[in-house]
Amino acid sequence: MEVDPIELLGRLEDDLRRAQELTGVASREREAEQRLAELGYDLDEGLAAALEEFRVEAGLPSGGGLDREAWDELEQLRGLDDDEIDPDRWRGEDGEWLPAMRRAIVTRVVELTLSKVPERERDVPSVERVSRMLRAVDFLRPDESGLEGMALEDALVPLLLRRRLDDGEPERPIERLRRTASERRATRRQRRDAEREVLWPEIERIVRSREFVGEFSRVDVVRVLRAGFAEAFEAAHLAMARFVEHVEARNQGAIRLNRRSRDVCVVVDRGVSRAEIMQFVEGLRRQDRSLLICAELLGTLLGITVAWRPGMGPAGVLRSMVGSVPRIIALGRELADVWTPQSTGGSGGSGYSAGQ
Amino acid sequence: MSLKQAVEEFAKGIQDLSSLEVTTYTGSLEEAIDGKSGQIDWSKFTPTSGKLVLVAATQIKADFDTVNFRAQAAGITDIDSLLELHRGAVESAQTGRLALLRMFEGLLDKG
Repeated sequence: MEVDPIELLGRLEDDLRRAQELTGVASREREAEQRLAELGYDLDEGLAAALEEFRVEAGLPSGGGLDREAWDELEQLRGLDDDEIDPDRWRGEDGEWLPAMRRAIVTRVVELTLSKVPERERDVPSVERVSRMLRAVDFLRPDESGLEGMALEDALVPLLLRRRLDDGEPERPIERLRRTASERRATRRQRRDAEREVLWPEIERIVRSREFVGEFSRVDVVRVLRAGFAEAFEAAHLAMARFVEHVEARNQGAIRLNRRSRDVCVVVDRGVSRAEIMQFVEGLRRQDRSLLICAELLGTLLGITVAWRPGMGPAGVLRSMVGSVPRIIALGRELADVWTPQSTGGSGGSGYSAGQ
Repeated sequence: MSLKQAVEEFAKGIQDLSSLEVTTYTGSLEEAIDGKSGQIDWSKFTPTSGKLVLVAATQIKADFDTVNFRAQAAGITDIDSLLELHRGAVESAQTGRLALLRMFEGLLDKG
């Protein structure tokens, strides 16, 4: 299940706060300092001065220090929870966001990696920085790299859009961004579903074919592909093992071939006919062709599993597989071609009878 | 060591596969195989009895310098098919190495 980043961030913050409380590290004042610092308030002059600045920017009566009201407002701005925030509370008489809310929005925008505030920007007056940030948000375009998967979370965007738009007012860029991103997510989901619908039956069709199953009939290929790539990997291993068996079987006849890491030795009995030799060579080439396919198949399957990361969910695993599926299908076709009964005709003596 | 590291370590060893030697002999196979097992003990295989004749030898060095040797036709029945077999063995050895490389290529691409 996909976890909302804002929710996750909130949980982490809550966990940290609980831990601080339990260990006695945290105090109300220290936490207030931390929250004010996160909002960009200057604490060089002390907590009282920063609190006073916050109170002014939040529209609170001056001189109250860290009273219940200030604490609650800091809490609201920290969480920026869409369900708890009353947008009208945070607007000035001119309808614009109060400076404290702007700071909170910027903080959350930065946290969500929509943008980063360079170190040198810390000296820029906060209101100017906020304005710049909001302009930057307005200029964001969904086609820009890195915007995919961007945290256009439901908690942030409605907040930015809380101002009621009159009918006929041009669509704001941020609204378009949200809509487009939503459409793109839906499109990606549809494409993945379509790929699954088309590609997996195709794989099934190929592996169900007798030609492909033939030599590896002991392996229920359909079952393993359905069960997952881990088992498909096992199937590829079996295919390789079967190949090795064939190679070893070559040491039973009148032509002996030994492969070692750096050398190959062939011994041919003088009684072997030309036809037998040519049949052996033909069989060798076909066998090598299947080896190449099996090796690439195994490498592809292994490559997919190497790309898996701890914690990657089924969707991530599927995504890592999708790009490789067309190649796997192609390899399946090639393997089927190599092992068709027609292609093995006349070479049964070389260990190539597909149905054995 | 992660799987990726293990794969990379293994891949380093692949360069050893760039050198290769293929030899093809003909003669009385009985001279080469063990009478009891019917198998050739390849680790001790040394065709020095004079009853197995070297038909061809190919040496491919790491710098891709290749040396080919082939016997005179005299005394060897149908040397052409034996040479074809030798070429097939060389090709097969190279293909086997290519297969290994392909497998690791797939691994390293994703790793």
